[in-house]
Amino acid sequence: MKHVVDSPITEPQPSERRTFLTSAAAVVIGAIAAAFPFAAGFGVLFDPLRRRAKGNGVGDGEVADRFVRVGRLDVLPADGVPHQFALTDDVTDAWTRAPARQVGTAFLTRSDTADGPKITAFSSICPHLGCAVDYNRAKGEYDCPCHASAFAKDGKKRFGPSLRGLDPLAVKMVDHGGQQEIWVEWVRYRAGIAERTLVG
Amino acid sequence: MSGFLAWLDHRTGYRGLLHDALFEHIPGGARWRYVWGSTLLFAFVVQIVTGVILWSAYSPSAQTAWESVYYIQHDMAGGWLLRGGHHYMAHAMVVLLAIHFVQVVVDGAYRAPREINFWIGLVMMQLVLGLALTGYLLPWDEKGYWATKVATNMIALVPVVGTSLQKLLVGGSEYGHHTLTRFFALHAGVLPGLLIACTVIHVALFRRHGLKAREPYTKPDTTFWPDQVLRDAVACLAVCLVVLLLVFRHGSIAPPDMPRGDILGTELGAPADPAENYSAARPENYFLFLFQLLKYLEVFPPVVGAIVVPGLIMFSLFLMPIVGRWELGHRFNVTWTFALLIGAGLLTAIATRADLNGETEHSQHFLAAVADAQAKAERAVELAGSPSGIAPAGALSMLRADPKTQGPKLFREHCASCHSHFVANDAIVDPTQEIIVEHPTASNLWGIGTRGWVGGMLDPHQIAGPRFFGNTKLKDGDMVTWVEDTFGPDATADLDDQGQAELQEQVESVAFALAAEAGQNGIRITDLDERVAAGRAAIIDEFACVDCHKFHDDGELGLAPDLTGYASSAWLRAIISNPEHERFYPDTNDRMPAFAASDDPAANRLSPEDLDLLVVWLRGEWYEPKR
Repeated sequence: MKHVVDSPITEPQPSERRTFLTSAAAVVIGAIAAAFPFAAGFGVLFDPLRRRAKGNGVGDGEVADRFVRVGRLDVLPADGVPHQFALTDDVTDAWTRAPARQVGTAFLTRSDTADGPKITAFSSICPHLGCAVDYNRAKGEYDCPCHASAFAKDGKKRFGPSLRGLDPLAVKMVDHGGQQEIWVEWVRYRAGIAERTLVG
Repeated sequence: MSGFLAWLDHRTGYRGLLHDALFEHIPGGARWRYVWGSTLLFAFVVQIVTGVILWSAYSPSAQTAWESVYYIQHDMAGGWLLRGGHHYMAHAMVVLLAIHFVQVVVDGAYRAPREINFWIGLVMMQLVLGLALTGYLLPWDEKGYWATKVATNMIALVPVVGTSLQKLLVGGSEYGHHTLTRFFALHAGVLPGLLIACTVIHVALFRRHGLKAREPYTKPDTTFWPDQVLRDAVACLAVCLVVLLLVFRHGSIAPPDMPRGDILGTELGAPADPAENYSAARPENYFLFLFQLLKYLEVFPPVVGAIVVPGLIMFSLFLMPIVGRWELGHRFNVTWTFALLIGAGLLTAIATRADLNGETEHSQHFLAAVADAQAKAERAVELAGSPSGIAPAGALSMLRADPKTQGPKLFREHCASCHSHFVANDAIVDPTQEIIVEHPTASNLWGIGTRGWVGGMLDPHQIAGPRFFGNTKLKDGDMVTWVEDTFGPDATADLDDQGQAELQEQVESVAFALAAEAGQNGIRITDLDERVAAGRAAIIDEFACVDCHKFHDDGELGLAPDLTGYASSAWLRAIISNPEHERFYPDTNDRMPAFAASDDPAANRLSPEDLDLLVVWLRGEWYEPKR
């Protein structure tokens, strides 16, 4: 018995045609079998792509109410200076349902006018790449600790790499048993672009 | 293109490698019997790919393991397919391993010069079994939890270092987060890493020695490519098909609207609960023979069955290349291999038969435990998919706060020495919700506070029967006398048909009114307020229930139970807490103990949580999914 590895050219060939068919079948069947584990895992691997951010309305066809309660009106001093508040919402994190969890923060500024209290709100998420901005009282501006973007009190960009100003959040007043309450619409926009596009 | 390939070959020598890989010499031609090693390698690759993808969704901790596996199985796209594929490919791997081993022994491929490769193969066998064992725990369901507990306790029986080994494996003395992280590190890191290393050596040595062809040769020599590759590919595809068949095997019997994760793939038990008996505990099928062996070796100390006998068997396998130097030794090895296989098969069959025959007490007990476990697992999945979902505390807390599963347990523990709870008529109900007491000494509490309950209470044929007061000293009480005097045949004999119908109408109105007090069975006062108002009037005026009972502003407490809020949550909580309270039976209580009469929860038989669970359960107000 010989124990030498021959090249296929010198090997006695039963028939070119048969060898070709065998090779083709081996490749095709082998490829199908090899694809099996990837096919089985395809759905799970790409599962995040079919999920949508809470309440952005894509897919289920309805825009959910995204307003979350901040607190009573009198917790926000009417001093015209931004104050940071935690926003609380019900959270679904994969399998976990957590009611009333802090999901982010917003800067609220209140100045009382003749028409009543006027409140503006900005998301604390830097529109550049998503770090959390801080309000610098001494300079009277919002500073991002990551890439030094700075924003004026009215949210406009002062300098730095951000392509847009801070993201304003809608504010509404809700009457709760005679108490005025501040509610803020909790939305997030894609970072790093000039337009405001909702996170999907 | 050819220029680039030449460039690449010059730098990597890939053509030579490819040539070596594909043109392995096969004396005597390609054969189907040579496919087993390749299928085993293929199965391992499938496990790596599916395993890594599962890894991307799995979270090893006591509060997230079951939950993340639930999420994979029931929520992620095709998660049941991935999980089922990984699970059944693991089974396939053990079977292929056995076939490969038998073939190596029968063909004498373990003999010189292949001894070392044979020993490496045996090490790989241990690694595969280790992977199976560690993977079984990861879903952290009852089955995996209890089976692994047994396995780690067996490891503790190893002389001298056993307890330390166990502690290292479990991550301490108690099962918990670190048991999972450590098992996961073994399952997804250490064991596959070792297995990959061994596989490389195993294949390299196999190539060095060449294929151990079986004589006589019937065909001319050939090479691995393409004839043998085709056979290997077909065999691998067949393995995939078998696995898919197992994944889809319940697909044909399932209703089409059922979520696929509920029926396809592999099962997920209820979340592991260390505080609960699990009588359906069994190891994975391919370890059943060891399980059975342990039972036979009970006369010896446990270490014999757990460590010594399996160790000796493994040792006998390691000795095979030495024994096989002689032709007689080879025959012995072949015989011994088949004897072991047949023995293991026999033990497995005996264990399976003992469990599943359905006739012996042991089997009936086991099958009931399996059914219980299945019901509990289904319930856990229902609750996890409910609007309230799984709280951050995890699925076990969710299950423990479920009245449907906890109610019967609490009732058995605290109430069922006197009360039963079953449907007296032919209605078909969930049997897990029925509790039949052999010699009840109090009422059957099924449907307490419903219209049917009140109607039955006012029925002279029923009130002194076993459903109500028949087994208590109240059998001869004023209520029974009143019902018999008011609705009994003597009282209604001289009524014409219309009079009888009116009386019946009034009784039904009372049933509506009291069911409205309980606020259950979907009674909406607005729909029925005429009936309810008529019933309330009858309670106060026509029937004068308020002569003995208090009902809102009418009547006095002390003689008979308060009908205000009758069988409502608060009322039930109060009567269970203290039946001798003046609102209920201050003087006429039969034997019912006070379960939570004290303000100090520690002094009570029932905790406030358990009392709530019991009350919600008695009222049938647990979550049910909409189908």
